[in-house]
Amino acid sequence: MSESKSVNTIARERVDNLASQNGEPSWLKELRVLSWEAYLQTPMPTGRDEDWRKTEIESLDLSNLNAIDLSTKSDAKAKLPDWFETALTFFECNSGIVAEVGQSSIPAQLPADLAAKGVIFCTLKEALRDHADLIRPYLSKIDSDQKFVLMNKALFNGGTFLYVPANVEIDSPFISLTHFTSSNGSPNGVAIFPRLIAVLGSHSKASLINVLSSEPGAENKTTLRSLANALVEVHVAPGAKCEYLEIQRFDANVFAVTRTHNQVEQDASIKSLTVALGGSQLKGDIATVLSARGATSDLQGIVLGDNDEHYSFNTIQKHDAPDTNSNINFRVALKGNAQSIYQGVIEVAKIAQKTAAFQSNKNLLLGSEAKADSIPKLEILADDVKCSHGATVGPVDREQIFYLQSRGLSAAAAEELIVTGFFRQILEACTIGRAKEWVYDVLAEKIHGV
Amino acid sequence: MSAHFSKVANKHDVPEGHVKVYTVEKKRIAVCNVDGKFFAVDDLCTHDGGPLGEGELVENTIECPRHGARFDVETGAVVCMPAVVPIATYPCEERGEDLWVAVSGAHK
Amino acid sequence: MSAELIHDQSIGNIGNDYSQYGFQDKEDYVFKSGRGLTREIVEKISSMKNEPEWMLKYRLRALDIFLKKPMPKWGNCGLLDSIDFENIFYFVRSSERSEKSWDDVPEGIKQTFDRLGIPEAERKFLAGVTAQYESEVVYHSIREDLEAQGVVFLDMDSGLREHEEIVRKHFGTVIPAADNKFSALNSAVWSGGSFVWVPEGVKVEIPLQAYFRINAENMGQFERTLIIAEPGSFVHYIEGCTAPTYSTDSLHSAVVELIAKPGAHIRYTTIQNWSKNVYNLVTKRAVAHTDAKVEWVDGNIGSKLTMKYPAIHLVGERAHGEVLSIAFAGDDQHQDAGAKMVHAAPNTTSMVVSKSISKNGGRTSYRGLVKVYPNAKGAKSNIKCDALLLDEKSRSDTYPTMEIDEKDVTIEHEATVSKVGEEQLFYLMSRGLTQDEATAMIINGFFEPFTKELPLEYAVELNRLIQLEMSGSVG
Repeated sequence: MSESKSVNTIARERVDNLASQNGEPSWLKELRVLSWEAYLQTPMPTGRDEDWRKTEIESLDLSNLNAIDLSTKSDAKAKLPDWFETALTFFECNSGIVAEVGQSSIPAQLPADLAAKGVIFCTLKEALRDHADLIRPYLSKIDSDQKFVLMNKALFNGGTFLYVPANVEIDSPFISLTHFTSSNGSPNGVAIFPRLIAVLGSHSKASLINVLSSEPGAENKTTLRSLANALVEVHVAPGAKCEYLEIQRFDANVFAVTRTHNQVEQDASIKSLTVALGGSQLKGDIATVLSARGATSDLQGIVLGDNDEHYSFNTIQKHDAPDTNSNINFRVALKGNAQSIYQGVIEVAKIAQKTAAFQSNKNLLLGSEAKADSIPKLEILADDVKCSHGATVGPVDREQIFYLQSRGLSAAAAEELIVTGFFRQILEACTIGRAKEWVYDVLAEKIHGV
Repeated sequence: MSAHFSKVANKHDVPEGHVKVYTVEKKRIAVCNVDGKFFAVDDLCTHDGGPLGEGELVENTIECPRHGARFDVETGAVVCMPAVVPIATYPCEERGEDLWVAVSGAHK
Repeated sequence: MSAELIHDQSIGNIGNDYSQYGFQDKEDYVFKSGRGLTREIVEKISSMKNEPEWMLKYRLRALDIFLKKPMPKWGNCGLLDSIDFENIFYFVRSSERSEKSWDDVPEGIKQTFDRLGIPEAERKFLAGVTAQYESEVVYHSIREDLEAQGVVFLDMDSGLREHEEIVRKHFGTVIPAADNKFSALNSAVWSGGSFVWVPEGVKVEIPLQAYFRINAENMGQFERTLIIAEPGSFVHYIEGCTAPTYSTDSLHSAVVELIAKPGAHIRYTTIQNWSKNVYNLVTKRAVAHTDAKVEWVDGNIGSKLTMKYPAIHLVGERAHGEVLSIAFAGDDQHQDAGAKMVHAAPNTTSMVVSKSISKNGGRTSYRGLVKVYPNAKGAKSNIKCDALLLDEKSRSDTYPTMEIDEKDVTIEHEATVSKVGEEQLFYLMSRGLTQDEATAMIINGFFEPFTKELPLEYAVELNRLIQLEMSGSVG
């Protein structure tokens, strides 16, 4: 991989360069510049900000990052990570894959029948080139005042676009992979800014797997944190059904900041599962806005941490309309010195009567130095609601281990059984292909330190 | 493991009743001068991570500037809440005009 | 609590509606400071009380800290920022001295407390009473048998005079001035409050009570309470608070420090019924040593804004903490209350039960912390918060925080928010109750885990207050 010339890649020059080197239309450049200016106006979060509590945001040196230009060249033969090749066999994907591996992108092979129905699945760059009018409104539909979201909106240089027209129902999942090498032989970190936009037209149905991953380079001299700043926006139009699975699997050089925003309209639903499997620091926000009557969301999360990994997930369930339902089930198991901070908030607006919202966060502490914080919040302004949350933190039940060992299992095997059992309720609800089987496998690998 | 001492300062750098913070083996250490005797403690309040070195010495205790927790600089014990867990202390020796602190291999 | 008690008007006489609390006395004071907070006022308070030099120094340092510390950036920032510290009277002396005999209390003040039912309550079920009017305690008594056992129950000013060494050793060690902006303010201008010292092994079986009354407009009341329970002792302390209703605001900012030595047991009960123009910003913290037990029983009915999170620092093995909290927020009220449990030793246990009700646009917030330090093996904590919303104008928030740095623990938190069940209401109304009565009964049931922990007279009083709040007859 070649090094980017500019040392400070989070700078106004890069905003301009991206616009010119990609031949972007002026409206897009304006959007980037607006975001950049808002970015400059927004203070950098610190570990003392509630949303960023205990994160090591100060360890991220934004002035010494080399940004990678994702998908600058199309290369059908680009090497996919081996584990991803394996995963594909479980994902049972017949719909299409967009893979960006470093600077190469593997062109999506969208089946002809889907293309004929008007389905679009391609890299974000292709979408901006070929479907500009279609994608344009979605680039600025979801406002944010968050520093890292604004950074992404100014600097995004890769990612994926999925468009499913109204009334089209597709069972087989779409797959998007963004994979990069987190070190490049220099002490500087690497930065990527992928952005995924999925639009499901009214009464359509689709599922999407989004894999964000990295590996250290052969010559890993990186002493500074690399940054993966990903933005995911899912628009689910009235009556549509979306199932979404996200895998975050970064290496120990990477500080990942991800923001997922699900906009769910009348009688539409989203079912999503986020699986976080590694990185130096994963800071993930998952916001779901139920904007019209009958909208529902079911969000599940799995974190398996080890070593010095640090996870900080914030979930937001925002009920802006009556008769909306949401559920969150977030489970965290931590080995070694891993640390997790889960914050979840249920917000029920005054008009959102007859809302039901539930939130559960369970933490299993396996490592003697593991730490878990849980902050489940409720902000309820409507009275005719059913809202509840629960959170627990505890160790593995010694009696369970003892029982399993008495049945001849090794301590490690017993631990695997208990941890996979802890995640089972969540995984069994995942109905995309045989994806859950693959997740069980990678969880087991991580439990055994493979 | 035997204590490994590092030279951190000239003793006149830390006047009586004052605290100075030095980095020793990548750790921030607050060196306190109480009536001419020197003590070395962690520069990190166990309550909320406050910078103890920016706090005041009150007799033989160091006070966290953030919420007022106080620790005995000799033993590390909590003298005043909201902290409840003691801070680490380190051997601090005067050798001639210099102050030496042992961070690794030494636990008082 | 059974239905009979709600309707039984014969038990207890403390309050039928807020007009019983809301009356204003003519201001007839021995000393009233000017408005605003200055170094001179702090010095004046200290000199009027003939305090030792160290306390004056403590106050002045606290004043510096108060002036430097920013307002909290959380909670109800809008209301907090509207407090005008320059418009408050920081010290009002209503009487030359604290009386031991009720007959010697100045007539006007006596009438006030008579109307509030204090002397009768004392005769009935209390082991000792202090009554604080504005900045200082005007009446104080303790049963002779307790005094003979060495139990000290004094107002804080007398405590400092008569037991200076004990006070100096413990004062501000649980809540230092720098803890937060309001503890700094209290540390600078504190006056009154209670000093309780229970000797080793002595069990005070009936409650000690303090009664706090603000009368003057724009008054700031800053009482300071320190309770020390020596090993193996027990004490139950109850406080009640009221004030007249004015069009402008008063500030109540207390600091309460509890020290439960090994095996000691302290129960501290508050029924706060401040008028709806009082900012109630209170810091309460207890330390529980080995095998000690501390309970905060905390009822928040009144005030405009309450921000209060009683804390228990469990520093000795097997120490146990409990917070039982109820909050009721009506029109223009925000009850931001909660609990903090800090587990710093093995096998420590804690429990929080919080119940809150919001009505007529009121807002209740539960804000809590469970912190477990490394090596606090076997720590167990269970937190349960339930909120009822009675109408669409009201709001409920839950902000619990769990910071768990030790693996071998069991931490559980649950919260629910819901509205009063239509079916329950329908059933009760079909039995001939009015809607208000039915709702009051459901609410009494909802609060029962709390009321059953109160002495009977208080439970009755609380039920009546709630019933009055429900029927809208309270201002």
